[in-house]
Amino acid sequence: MNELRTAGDAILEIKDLVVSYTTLSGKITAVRGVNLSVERGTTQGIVGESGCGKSTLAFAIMGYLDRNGQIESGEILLDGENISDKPRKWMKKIWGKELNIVYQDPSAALNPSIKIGRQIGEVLETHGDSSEKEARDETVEMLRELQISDPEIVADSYPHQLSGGMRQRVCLAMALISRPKLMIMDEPTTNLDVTVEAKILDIIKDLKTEFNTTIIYITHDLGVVYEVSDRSGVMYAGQFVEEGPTEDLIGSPIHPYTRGLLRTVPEVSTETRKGKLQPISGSVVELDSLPQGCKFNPRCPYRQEGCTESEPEFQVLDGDRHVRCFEAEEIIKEDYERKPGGGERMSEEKGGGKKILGAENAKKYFGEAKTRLLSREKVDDRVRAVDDVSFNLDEGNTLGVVGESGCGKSTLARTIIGLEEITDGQITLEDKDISVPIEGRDQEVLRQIRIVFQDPRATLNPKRTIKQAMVRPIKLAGASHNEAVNKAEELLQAVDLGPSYLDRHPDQLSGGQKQRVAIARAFASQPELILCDEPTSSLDVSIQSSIINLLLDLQDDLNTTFMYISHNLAVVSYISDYMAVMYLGRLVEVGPTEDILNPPYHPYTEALLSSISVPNPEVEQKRIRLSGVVPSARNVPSGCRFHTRCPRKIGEICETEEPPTRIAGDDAKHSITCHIPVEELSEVEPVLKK
Amino acid sequence: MEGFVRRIRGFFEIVRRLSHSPLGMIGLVIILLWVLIAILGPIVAPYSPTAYHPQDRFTGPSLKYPFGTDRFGRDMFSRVLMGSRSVLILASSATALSLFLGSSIGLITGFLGGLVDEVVMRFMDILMSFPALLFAMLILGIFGPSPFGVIVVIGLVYAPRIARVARSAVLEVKQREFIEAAKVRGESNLYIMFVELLPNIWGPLGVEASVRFGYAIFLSASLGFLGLGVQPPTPDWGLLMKEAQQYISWAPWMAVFPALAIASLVVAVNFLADAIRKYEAGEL
Amino acid sequence: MTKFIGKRLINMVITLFIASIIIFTLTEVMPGDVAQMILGQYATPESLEAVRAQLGLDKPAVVRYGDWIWGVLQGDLGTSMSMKGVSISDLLLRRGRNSLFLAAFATIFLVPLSLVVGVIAGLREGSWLDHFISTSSLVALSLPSFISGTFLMLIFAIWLKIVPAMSSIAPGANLFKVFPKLILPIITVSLVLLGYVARMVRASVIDASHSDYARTAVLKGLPYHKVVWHILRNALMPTVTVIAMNLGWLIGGLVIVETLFAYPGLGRLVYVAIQRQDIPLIQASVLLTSAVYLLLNLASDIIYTFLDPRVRY
Repeated sequence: MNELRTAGDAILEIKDLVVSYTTLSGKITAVRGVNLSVERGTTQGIVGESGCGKSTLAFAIMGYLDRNGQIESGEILLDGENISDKPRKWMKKIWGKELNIVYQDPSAALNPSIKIGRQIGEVLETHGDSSEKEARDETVEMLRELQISDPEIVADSYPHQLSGGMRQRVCLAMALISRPKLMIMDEPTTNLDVTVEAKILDIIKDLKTEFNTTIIYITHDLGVVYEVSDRSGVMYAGQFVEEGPTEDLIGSPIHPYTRGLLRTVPEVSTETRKGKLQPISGSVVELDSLPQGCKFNPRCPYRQEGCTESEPEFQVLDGDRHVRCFEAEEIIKEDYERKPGGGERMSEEKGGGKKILGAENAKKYFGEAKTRLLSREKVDDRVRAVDDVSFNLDEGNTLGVVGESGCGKSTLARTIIGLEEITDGQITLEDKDISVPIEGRDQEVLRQIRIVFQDPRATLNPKRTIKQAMVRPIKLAGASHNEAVNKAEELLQAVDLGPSYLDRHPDQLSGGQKQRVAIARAFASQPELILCDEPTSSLDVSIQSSIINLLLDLQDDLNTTFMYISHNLAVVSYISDYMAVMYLGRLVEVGPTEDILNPPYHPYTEALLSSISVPNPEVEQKRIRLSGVVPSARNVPSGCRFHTRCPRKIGEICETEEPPTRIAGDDAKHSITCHIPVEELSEVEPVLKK
Repeated sequence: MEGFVRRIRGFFEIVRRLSHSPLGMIGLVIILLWVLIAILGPIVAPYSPTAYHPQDRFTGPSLKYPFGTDRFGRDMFSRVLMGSRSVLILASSATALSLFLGSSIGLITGFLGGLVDEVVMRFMDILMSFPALLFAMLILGIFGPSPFGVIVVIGLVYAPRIARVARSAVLEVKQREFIEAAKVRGESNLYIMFVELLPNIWGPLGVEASVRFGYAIFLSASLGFLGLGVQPPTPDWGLLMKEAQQYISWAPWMAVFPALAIASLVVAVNFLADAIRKYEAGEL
Repeated sequence: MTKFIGKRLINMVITLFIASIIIFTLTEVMPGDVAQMILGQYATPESLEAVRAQLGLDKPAVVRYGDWIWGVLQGDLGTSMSMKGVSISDLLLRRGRNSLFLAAFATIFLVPLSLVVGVIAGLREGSWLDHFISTSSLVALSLPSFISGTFLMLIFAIWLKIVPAMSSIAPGANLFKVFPKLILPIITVSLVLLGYVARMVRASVIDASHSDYARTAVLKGLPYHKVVWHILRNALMPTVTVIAMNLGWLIGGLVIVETLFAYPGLGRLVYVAIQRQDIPLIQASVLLTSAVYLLLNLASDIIYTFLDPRVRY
């Protein structure tokens, strides 16, 4: 170990930790020999895909594993004292006082029927000798420090009365109030919208300076780890494969897995995509069937013969970095290239195509406007999920729609395909009016549009085989049974699944495979338009990239038109030719992807871009944070809908008048809906700079 | 053929998982035992259940009459064994009826939603606002006691409850994406209901049916006890209990054995139902 | 809040109104001639006519329904047919008092007991105590009352002779004085609910203790009793509804138990009325029980809104 990191400085030291679970089908080792040393006052990031053992590690440190989990061997030293073998009774004294944890879902972590103030205050009452009054004062003070503007009101609220971001701040306050020696954060921002996440991450970064807290930050998101942590470790199959200062780890990764992860995620970049994403081949290993030798070897591009025989040690490299790889010395000599150009992806103009999809002033409201019985007063509290949306989409192009949760992007897709009945306006497919729900559409129109959903578990009927799922839509298009089976095989081949999958049931497939079947099924009727509603959001990043590549390849071959909906700006900007930014039922900015990512920006687009975490040291990012929360779609703000949060609000006009939609710059396809003149919007610096 | 083999294998898998629950297995064995007795009937019963033995009235349990005799000297052992027939037939037919009615109503209202759903479920709520036993008594009191009446009435009483379960299962499955995928490709409502939806609600329906079977035994025995079900001289467990009440202090065996019979069956059914519920919830 | 209660009250009245129509229609199709039943087989056609006119049976059904429901609203439930000339209102009051006494004691006995037992089992999930409680509560809820009642009667009244076997009491007797007679019926009628509620409580305690917020409470280092409080604060809320809903079950259970122990309550009255085809009595008693049942449901909803901060109307 490096001299800088002596035992005296380490607040937490983990030595050869092995944790296993006893299940019905035998013992599974989830953490297999972890060594880690965390210095006082620093933030240690831990990254990994699902099932890599990062959460097990967190709860092992807490001394609170599930009932069937046990620490097999190893030590966990907190401030020099081994806590790995302490009974619960002993742990109780340090839980909440010296050792705290914040986890993913703040709405589940807080007790729904106890007031916030009480829930935080009781920590102090338990561990100190604060009176109820003192506890209350300190609670309010702590809430204020976490930038909660009305701490007293929040303290008197129940969790359901707060927004998601607010709840997570409350959880942070609850964990911080006793000034713990060590705080573990297990994906604390994963369920939050980017603009909210960005603010929480700012707070977490500040904790270090303000409270000198030591933090272990666990996440699947490389960008987030890059943002918050001083040192980071990458976990794979229950072990660290690489650990070191975050700058080095992200900037010049050594382990093939770390490199793979960094290359596999699409990155928001002002230049349009070059080359394909590079998925990591194969899939995440199952803990009950680990390969011989290095656990990463089946997926590793650097694999040598020795890799399949014995496991590499965690060796020190370059002074301060640890890598578990036989080839590390060789790899480090290579120049690391972030995005090596692979197969060329065109970014050239796909002009000349005919118009496939059009929307004109499309509106989808939920609920009904009522007139009060007694006062004859009209109440219109309809949910304006989609409110006056217009755009055109040409053949073979992809329109990406981004926006935070609740902005109406999914409703827009569902209205286009007819799952929701349009309230007003028009939707056209190849210039044919299709502004009717499914029941009113003829077979030909139904054939032309398909949708790929988000949740791979729900997208296939669990009671029907893949064959049944695939053959049915082909037969509906008029094929005989044998033709349909052949076609189904072909389609599965196209999504890289062999014919052996035909007789399987969905529960025998992984999430990524299910999503491939769903895509194959969507293509079965040879549709003109495919709507993708967050198709990769619930997948691990290494699988996400292969699905995106698959979609792009199919589009190249078949010239299919896509509308791709996601909250993930990086994915959308990678896949789309055109982008639309949606806020509270409206499209605030529409245009070619390159134009969206460069000034002039709509102030909301600008804030979105500056909120995302980019795992790239070469990129410089401007910092803009939005205040407040997204208003309810039941009661939208007057004038410009964004005015309640807009950092660039110019005055009363924003509150009273609907903003105009203006052509931005020289490209007639780029439009921004804002009161600020385009020239002024163009003057800002780009958010992302190399 | 392949599907058939799979189904058989699936069945054995279920039994294997159920065997993790000892109570469930005990329940299953007792139920199978009673079903066997009911089928064999006269072959295992030493006497005719309705044969009078005037010389042996009110005799206590003995080798000749293991469960004693009643006021006409009828053999209680034979009467209890043969009594299993009526309770099993009544309860299973009633359960089948309520399952059929309830799942049809639940499937249709849940799937269609809207006004149909609102009106039908409102009506179901009203039906359920009568306590089950009272409702059954009222109907049987009006139309006269009969085994057929018991089946119909229990079927009707429990149908709304099954409809609720079916409906909420449908509502849960309906919003899953594969249903929407089917709609998007233009499938008919009937296809979606029977091919896509129905196979996915068998689980909760099976749990509910097993619980309802227990309640049906409970209710049919209670109605028998009140004299509103099977009529004498046919042996029926509830009825045997009614007949025993008058003599309970000096011929307790007349009550004890039918009581034990009912208790064993109804507890067994509930044990099994509980195991099935755990199986569906993935706890086994 | 008042708006919510008002809404629910109106809802209940509508339900009760529809229920009354159903009850009336059902008794209407009852086979047999009422006048014939009153006068016996050998009545002359003239006297039958006279009785019909007296009872208003010659009027159309809608008018008779109107008369009946008008009477009900004024508290006049008519007179019993089988017990000649007895006012049904008086009868229901007297018997209702007895049943209420039984039900009240059963509730006092079963609610705390089932809560305690269920909470213990839930907090000690997987222990032998939990297995014991779960299994015995499953047995308790499975057994029809006339079975458990018979066993209790055989053991405690006939064999051990601690309590009386039969619960027949004189009309108007002081119920506290004859309390020993009520012990067996009270226990019997409680058993099914005891098992049911205990299991519900157990399940909901287990649910709550597996929740993230329970884990938060533990990992805040709170002492055990506070963690339990965090759990129970949420786990017991749904239980309120379960208890109130199922008190309605007591009404059905009372029929069996009162018949078994010959206790002069409302349940036995309904049973007798149905046996004797006493139409006015059937109508009145069934309507009354439905009303009680609906009121209990309403009460559970209202209590729930007070307990759960997330539900506000």
